[in-house]
Amino acid sequence: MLEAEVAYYPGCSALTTERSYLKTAEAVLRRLGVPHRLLDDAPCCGTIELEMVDREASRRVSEIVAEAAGGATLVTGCSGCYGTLRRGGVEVRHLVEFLGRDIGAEEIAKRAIRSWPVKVAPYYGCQALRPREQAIDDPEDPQILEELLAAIGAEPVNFRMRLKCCGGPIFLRRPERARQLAKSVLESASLAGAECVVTICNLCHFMLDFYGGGTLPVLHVTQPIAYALGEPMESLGLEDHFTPVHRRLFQPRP
Amino acid sequence: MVSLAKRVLEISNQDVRKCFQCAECTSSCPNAGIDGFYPHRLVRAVLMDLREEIFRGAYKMCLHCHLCSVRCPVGLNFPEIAIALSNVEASERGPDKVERAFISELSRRAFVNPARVALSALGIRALTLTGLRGLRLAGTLVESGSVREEYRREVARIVRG
Repeated sequence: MLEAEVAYYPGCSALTTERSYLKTAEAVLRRLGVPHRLLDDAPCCGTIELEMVDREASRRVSEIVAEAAGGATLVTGCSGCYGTLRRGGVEVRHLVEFLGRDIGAEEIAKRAIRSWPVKVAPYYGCQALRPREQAIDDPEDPQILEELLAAIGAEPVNFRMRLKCCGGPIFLRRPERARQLAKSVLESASLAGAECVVTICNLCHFMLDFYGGGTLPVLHVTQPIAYALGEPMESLGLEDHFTPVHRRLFQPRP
Repeated sequence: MVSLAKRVLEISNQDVRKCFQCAECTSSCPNAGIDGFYPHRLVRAVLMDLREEIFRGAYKMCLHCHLCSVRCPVGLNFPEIAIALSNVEASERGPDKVERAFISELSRRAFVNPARVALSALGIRALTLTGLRGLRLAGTLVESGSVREEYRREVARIVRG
């Protein structure tokens, strides 16, 4: 199905606070039979802070990341890295776009060996959808994440904050305000009846999981997908999360 | 001194003269009103070259979420304007505290551990704001993977200018 090699750029956080994202992203690629190489020796993309200090330096760091990929298809699971690299003129695909478009939700449904019948709030955040030039789907009404989750038997719910900001970019400048934003995402997911939230970005996950008030478990999109593809619950890195994840989210339901 | 409007055009290719103050940006902004942040007012302030007013720093409340830029009727990209303003401020007056923390991580290690940056920028506050979860942050100071030496040197060169 896929011949080209993927160079997977995890982003710094996936090597520190968000290890479970990298672990399960790799599991998904492996179980789908995608030949891939991990770019864990490439530098940090510099994120918005380097862009804020020196736009030109940020572009040059993005070029180093592209160079590290060495011609393979550059894929990242972090929307923050994705946005920075795109603005730096680098050709890069978001993991969700790769799974939803290059592999396809139907193919994932076909490969799934079990169902994950959970009411889930798919949280997009910002950088994967906006600005328009870097959108992986319709920026005002995306469905790509819903399709992926429905493919493994989940029931995606609509919620007010699904396209709004997690507060990450001002976490260090105005932590209290950032926390209000993170909490409002979880509150709106709760109100919509979700059992958990699914994120597609290292920073969004950190904000909601660490800083969102702990009202709902927050999963990386790759955790339920890896599970549906056959990865055992013990290998999903659930114990790495700051907000405890109920094991019953990953147990068969009557 | 080159006008701010011109600098914004050079750095981010955004022409603030196009703005007609409809305030769609401010209506879309999740952070409007925080620390006196109103995107449409800032765009006008750039046009009027109000440096002191702008460098008071309200523009740093921009979340870069781009809810404004997808809706701007004249196609202006406010987060790009904020980036350009910050570039100007950093070059004329130096980076702020948070930016300095990032730049120092980048130039020494070419790698940013969010736990270390949070602890260094917020100190004990990072822990107390979140109770027990804060304590678990310490466990994430251990990293897997390390940046290749040639990349690290290259990033250090770039970042130090």
